[in-house]
Amino acid sequence: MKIKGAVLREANRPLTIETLELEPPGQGEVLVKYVHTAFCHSDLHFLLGEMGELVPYPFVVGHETAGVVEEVGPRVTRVEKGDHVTATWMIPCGRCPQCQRGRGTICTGNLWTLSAGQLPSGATRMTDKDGGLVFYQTFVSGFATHMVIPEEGAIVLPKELPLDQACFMGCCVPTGWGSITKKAQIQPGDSVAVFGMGGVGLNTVRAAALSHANPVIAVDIEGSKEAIAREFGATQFINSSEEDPVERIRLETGGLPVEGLGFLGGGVDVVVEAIGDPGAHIQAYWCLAAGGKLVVPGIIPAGQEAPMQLTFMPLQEHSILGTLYGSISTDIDIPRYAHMAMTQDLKLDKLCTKHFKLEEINDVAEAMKRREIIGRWVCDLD
Amino acid sequence: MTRCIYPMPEWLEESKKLYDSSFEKKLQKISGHYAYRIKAEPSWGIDKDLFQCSIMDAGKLIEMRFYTEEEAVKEADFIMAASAPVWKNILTKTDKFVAAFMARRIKLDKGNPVKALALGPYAGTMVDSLTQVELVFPDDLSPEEFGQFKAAFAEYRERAGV
Repeated sequence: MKIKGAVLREANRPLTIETLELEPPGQGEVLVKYVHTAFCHSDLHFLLGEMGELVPYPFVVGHETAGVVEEVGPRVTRVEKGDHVTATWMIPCGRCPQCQRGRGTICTGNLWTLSAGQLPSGATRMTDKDGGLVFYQTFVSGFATHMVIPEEGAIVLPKELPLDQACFMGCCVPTGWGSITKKAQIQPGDSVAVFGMGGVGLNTVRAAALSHANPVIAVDIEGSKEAIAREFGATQFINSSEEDPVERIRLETGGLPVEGLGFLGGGVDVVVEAIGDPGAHIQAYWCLAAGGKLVVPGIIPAGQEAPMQLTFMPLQEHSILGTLYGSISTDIDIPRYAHMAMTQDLKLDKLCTKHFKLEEINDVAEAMKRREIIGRWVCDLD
Repeated sequence: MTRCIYPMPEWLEESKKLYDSSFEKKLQKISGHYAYRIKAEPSWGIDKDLFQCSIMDAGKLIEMRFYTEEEAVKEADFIMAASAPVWKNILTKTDKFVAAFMARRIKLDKGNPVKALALGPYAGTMVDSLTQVELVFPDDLSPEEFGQFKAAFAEYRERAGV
C-alpha cells in the first residue's frame, strides 16, 4: 500500500515528505494507522546526526506515536483489528542476558536489528519511489500515515484515552515515570531536582510530585517553561540562564556556603538530567546530597563529553545511573501508565500544547532547535 | 519454483538468474566483493570449507559463484565465516545476520568489521534474493536423497576445484 512518511536521507538535511510503498504485515506483525505522533528531542538528535548514525539512511523518523490497528498478519495473538496502540521503540527479545534479567529496555538481542533499521525479525517493509529500501527508526517510524510493526511492539491502550495523549505512552511518560519510580526508586519525602522541562522532564516532575517527593525543583534554561513546570507539580523553578542552579539548590536544601569549598551539606536526594547536555550533567551532579542519585535519561550527543570531578563520588556515595526508556517493562508498565492517565491526573491534556501537520515537521524541528517548544507538539496524521 | 539443494552450484546459478531490478534498487547502496565461508560440515556432505562469493556494484550482481580459498582470500573485500547450520538459520530467517555477526556466530576472517556490519540493513534483502528458489538443506534430505546429493556435490567440487 502507499503511505506518506517523513524521511531523513542524511543528517542535517530537511526531512522530505515522501510517498512510500509499505508491504503488508508478515507473520507476527500488524499494520497500524498512526493517528498522532509527538516530536521528541531524540528525534532532533537523529535529524542532527547526534545519535552517531545509529540507524542507516534513509529512514522514516519518529518514535512517540499512537494509532489504530488496521490489519493483523498471520499468527498474531495479542492485538486485534481496531485496537488502539502505542508503538514501543525497544522491543525485548526475551532471550538475551539482559532480558533474562528483566532489563528488556537494554535488550542486546534486538539491539542489532534496531541499529540496522530493521524490525526485530530482520525484515524491512518500506521502499521509496525508486524501489530503494527505507529503514525504520527504532522499530516505530512514527511520522508516517501507516506502519507495519511487530505485535510485541504494539501495546494496547484503553480506547477512552484520547490518541493525542496516548502517543505520549510511547516515550516521554514511561521515560519520565520510570526515571523516578524504577531507576531512582524514590521514597515519599525525598527531595528531587529535574533538569530540562521537555516532555520527559515534565513527566519526571509529575511522577515525583505524585510520589510525594518534596521539594520538586524544576530547572530549565528557558524561563517560559516555569508555568508548565509548576502545572506538572514543581514546587520551585530555577531559570538556569539567570542563576546558578547548583548554588540555589544547595542553599534551599540547607547547604552552608564555605569560602573555597563551595558548600557543606545540602543538595537533593535525586537529580534527573532530562536534557542530554554535558554542562547540565555537571551541574546536576553537584546538586546531589550525600547518598544522592543522579539519574540520566537525557542522551548526550555522540562525541560530546562531560568532564566531571568525582572525588566525592565514593566519599558521599553518589550514584550516576543511566536509564533507557525509564528502565520499564514495556508490556507491564505502559498499560499501567495508561490506566493512571485515565484515573489520576497525569495532566497529559496539558502536555500537548500544539498540533501540526506532517508537512510542517521541518518547522517544528527548527522551533525545537530554538527551544521554543513548551510541552509537546503533536502531529495529526489523519 | 525450482528446487535446489544447499550448497549446490545450481542454487547460485538459479538465484543469479532470478536476481532482478527490484533487488538492484533495494541493494543500490551495496558494492563490493563478498565471500561467505561455509565451514566444513561432514555430516552435511561438506568435507572441507567452501567459499560462496558475490561481486556487487551499486546493487547490480556482477558475479556469484563458489571460489577456491586462494581466490577468496585474494579477491574478496570481506570473508564472513560460519558453520553450515548457522548459514541455514540465516537463509531461513530463523537467525538474523546482524545478531549472528555481533554474537560471533558469524566471524569476520577478512575485512573491516564496521564496514562488514554496514551490510546488516540489507542482509534480509540479500537473503530474499538467495531464497527465491525452493532451497532445501542436506539435513532435511532423506537418506537416499542425501546419498545422491553427497556424491554429486563431491563430484562438482572435484571438477570445479573449489
